[in-house]
Amino acid sequence: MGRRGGKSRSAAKSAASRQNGARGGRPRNIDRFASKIRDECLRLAPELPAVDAGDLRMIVRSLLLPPARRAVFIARRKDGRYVF
Amino acid sequence: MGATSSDISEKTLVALAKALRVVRLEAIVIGNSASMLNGAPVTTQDIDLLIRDTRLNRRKLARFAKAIGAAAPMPISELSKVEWIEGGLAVPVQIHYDRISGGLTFSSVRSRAQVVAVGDEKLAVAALADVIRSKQAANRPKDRAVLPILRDTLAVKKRLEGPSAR
Repeated sequence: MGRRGGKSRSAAKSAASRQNGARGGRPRNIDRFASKIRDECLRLAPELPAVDAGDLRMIVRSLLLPPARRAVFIARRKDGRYVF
Repeated sequence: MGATSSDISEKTLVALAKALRVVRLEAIVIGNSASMLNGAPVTTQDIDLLIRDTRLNRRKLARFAKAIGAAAPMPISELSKVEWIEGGLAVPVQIHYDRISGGLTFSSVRSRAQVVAVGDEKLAVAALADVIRSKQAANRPKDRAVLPILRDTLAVKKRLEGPSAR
């Protein structure tokens, strides 16, 4: 099954952990997602000059989400108000 | 934290897919719901489904309406073959039989449709190119309004999901 991680107690490893922590640690998923959107938009923008930059960001964001998370329905409540 | 709009929409899609599976009704999501599932940043107030018009499917459709806790399917007008199902889900379901605008038959739409996962369920979703073709042919003001963003989405999708994509 292999050795379980985290057994090393070397000074170098401790220093590296402290250094990574000082930088803010592991990036949050939302930050990674935002970076991915930005990177894809930077790559695609020159290929699609006719697409508005704001629209491109919305489209790329939507395409990077799983299909079920892309849907947003507008529902009409019984009191006549519309909700997302 | 409360449920987000995306959570509610996802639950709606899961409930739809589950009911279709339970009653064994083969249906393809079309219209702007299909556009959304294909990645277009649009929204809609209903879910459009394309099914074959058979006696068996009509019976299954009645069972489907019951399964989602909705009223029986009703025609949207005397002149139209399209039916709608109100209640049960967050948005009404609109049923189209056999074909849609643009000369698109059930078989042709199904041949290009993609199966997408929603929760533990699956939904057949019309290809974005078919949605665009259908909206171009329908040519109503609401179709013309949404066509530019659908065309842009198709162009981005081809590059993002194409063979040269990273």
